[in-house]
Amino acid sequence: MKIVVCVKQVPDTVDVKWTDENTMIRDGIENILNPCDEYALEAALKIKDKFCDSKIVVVSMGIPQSELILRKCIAMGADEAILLTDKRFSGSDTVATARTLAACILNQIGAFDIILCGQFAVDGDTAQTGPGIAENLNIPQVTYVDNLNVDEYTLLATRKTEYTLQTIKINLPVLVCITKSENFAPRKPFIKDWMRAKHYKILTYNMEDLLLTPDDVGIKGSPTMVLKAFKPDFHSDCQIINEENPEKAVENLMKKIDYDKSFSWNSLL
Amino acid sequence: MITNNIDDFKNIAVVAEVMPDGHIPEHTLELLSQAKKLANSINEKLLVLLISSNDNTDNQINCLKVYFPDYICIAKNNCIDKASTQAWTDIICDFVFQKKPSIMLFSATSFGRDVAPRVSVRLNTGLTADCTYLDVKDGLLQATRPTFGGNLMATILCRNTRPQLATVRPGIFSKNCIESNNQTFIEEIVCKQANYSNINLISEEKLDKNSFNNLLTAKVIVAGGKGMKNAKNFALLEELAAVLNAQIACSRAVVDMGWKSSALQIGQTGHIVAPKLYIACGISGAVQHIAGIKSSGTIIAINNDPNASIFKVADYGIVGDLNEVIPHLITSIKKEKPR
Repeated sequence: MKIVVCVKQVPDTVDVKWTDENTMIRDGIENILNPCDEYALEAALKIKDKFCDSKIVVVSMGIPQSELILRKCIAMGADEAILLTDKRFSGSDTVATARTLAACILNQIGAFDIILCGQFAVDGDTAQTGPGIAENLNIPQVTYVDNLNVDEYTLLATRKTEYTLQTIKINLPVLVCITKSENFAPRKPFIKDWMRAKHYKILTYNMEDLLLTPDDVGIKGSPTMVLKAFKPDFHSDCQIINEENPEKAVENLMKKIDYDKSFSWNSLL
Repeated sequence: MITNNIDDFKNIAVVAEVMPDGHIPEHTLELLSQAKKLANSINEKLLVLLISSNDNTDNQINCLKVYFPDYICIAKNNCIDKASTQAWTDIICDFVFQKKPSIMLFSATSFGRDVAPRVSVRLNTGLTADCTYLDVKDGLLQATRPTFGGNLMATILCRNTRPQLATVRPGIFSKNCIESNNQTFIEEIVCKQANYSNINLISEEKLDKNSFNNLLTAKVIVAGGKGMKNAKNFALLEELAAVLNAQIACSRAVVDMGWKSSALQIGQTGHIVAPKLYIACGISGAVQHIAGIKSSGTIIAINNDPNASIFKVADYGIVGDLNEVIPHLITSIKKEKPR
């Protein structure tokens, strides 16, 4: 069985720091393997535990420094790692990113049985790249997956929606988006695995290797663009009620909410 | 879609969701309400795509008509498996080819976020996910969304391709009907019914009421921290939650003490939530907890420590003993309830 896992390098923290000019501070932030992607890799490793002849190929589109997360994947047990890196990929939205990853799978990796992706990345949080890859490759998908059961030709997925638990059966090949489910809590590599990963030769591909053109990738290949990015007008100026009598304090609160029209109690009930 | 006929694309479309029992969910109606406002502001029409598995669409049509769409476009879904995103994508793209909307909106639900990305790639057009604000300026949709866990907002444009797609966070807009005098025309969308036998929904069961997913969709969350003093005292929060139809949650400290399960934990290592109202009781407001509540609409904090960090991020704060404050809060909210 050939399993492809798409992974992304992301900043380590959601705690964004700001300069006085209200621009984001990016220095000094560590980069990590996107948590959902780590769970996706664990899902792949569990399939390999069952089907020992399986090959797991991890692929990432990113800056050269992304090789660090690919080495972590090798340490965890992936067999091959591919880095798609090219200055021309810069500025890609999810359409361009999905196209680039799909091109690698189509033109370099070849036949596969299952593609696993994290459900979302902690920075962009669009949850669009996985389904975009599936559409490019014309294969079925299952998202919000909490558990998997794989056979030679089919996959049984447990999918969690807002209100229901679905059991879905798909004929391979298929793309699956994995959530941070307890079923896929990532295994920790041993020191010897890290040593092995350190010496692994990561395959690197650029735009031409993927048979793509400048119009396919980066800013040119992206139908969306960011008009502006800004700090949310967030909950500053708390109106604090320092009233000793609790009944009066609540009265005061209700009055303030009513005056500000922050929300209507009726719309919530 | 192809860029050279952008001018052929007009009007705003909403993809309606239909629940298994046939009713139209709140978030679709909220979206309709907002889309009608936007359409009016640019003097264009509102279309609704209703994908129905049978001929019994009268109730659904009546429900949608309340929001004065100009067209309700019905697509027959006769033999597609509910789980087949490819099939849903086919139907929605057929609608786009026939109706050419300039803007098309979905709710950012497990359905919308599953199908919209495939539509965007199929049509080679832009999609903005999980928007919390929409505007139209100079004919372009400006879709604003939270990134980095709600720490950074981004406004996205889709300049050169159509339709401009967006999935919209449920619960962000209210479903107010705007009075209008337009007629609503009912139309049929012709779909090629492709049969995808590669995927099958075998079973579907309702999630346990106490499942954590309820926190992610809750309109109101009542959370307790270390200041609750013990597990039994959460009964007070249960009472408050009952009055508000809210979900109960807690801080990490509470989980560490063993008072509540980690399934209810809010914060960086727990759940990131975005309710309309978050009431933090006896929660000090550690950075990791705040990370989980940043996208909340309104935050009310009750704490007997005037210097608690939670007051830095709350919209309203009561400094006092929560055991005395909450009973009064319950009484006051009961008074607000519609009879």
